[in-house]
Amino acid sequence: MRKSLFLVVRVKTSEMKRGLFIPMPLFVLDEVVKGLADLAELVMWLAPGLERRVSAHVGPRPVEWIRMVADIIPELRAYGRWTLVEVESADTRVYINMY
Amino acid sequence: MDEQRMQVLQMISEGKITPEEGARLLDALGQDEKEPGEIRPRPAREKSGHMLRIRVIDEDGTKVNVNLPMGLVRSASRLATKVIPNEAREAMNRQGIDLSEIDIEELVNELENGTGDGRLVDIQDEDGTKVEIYVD
Repeated sequence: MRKSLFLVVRVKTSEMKRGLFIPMPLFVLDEVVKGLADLAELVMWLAPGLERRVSAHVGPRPVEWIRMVADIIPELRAYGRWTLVEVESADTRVYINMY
Repeated sequence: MDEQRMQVLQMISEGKITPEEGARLLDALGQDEKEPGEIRPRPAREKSGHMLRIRVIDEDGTKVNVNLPMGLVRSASRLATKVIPNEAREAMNRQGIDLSEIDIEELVNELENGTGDGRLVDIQDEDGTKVEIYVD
């Protein structure tokens, strides 16, 4: 199955004529997050004190946080075209779709 | 239709037809299953078999649908146990909850296979609010 390429957020309200359309390229986000993880690894290596301070508050190492996000993105992409969220109220509609 | 498929597979195994011919026959059987003019919806996902669906319909007509592939639920659950802050983890330990004892993988498997019709939550309030959580 083809991987999802875009996460698209669509917002329509009764006041908006055309609605809001926010495409997020998942294949780019995937690479960016992986790059961020490497960058965070470097920063934490250069400033180990910073890592200890952050970890004391949030639990896992900051690099692990970023790696977790990096692990989720391929999972999101693995199912092709599907709808993650649909919200419909009287005058607002929000959709999050994977394409 | 399954019997016909089995016959085709048996003919391949007995060497009566080539695998290519068998594949064509199986494709033809698949076409027959579809009603004329029927347009089948594209499957939401094929990687893992199931989807966790959360449906909320409010009394004022607001509808919320959330669809989560079980593979994603599995990965996110594994990660969720790691991202719990130390303070929260200690507070849970004091309450007798040891996160390391919870087998997330098994929990998700139970969610996926545990109920007959896949229905996990089905609540209807007196004011008309309806909440459904099911796996299909």
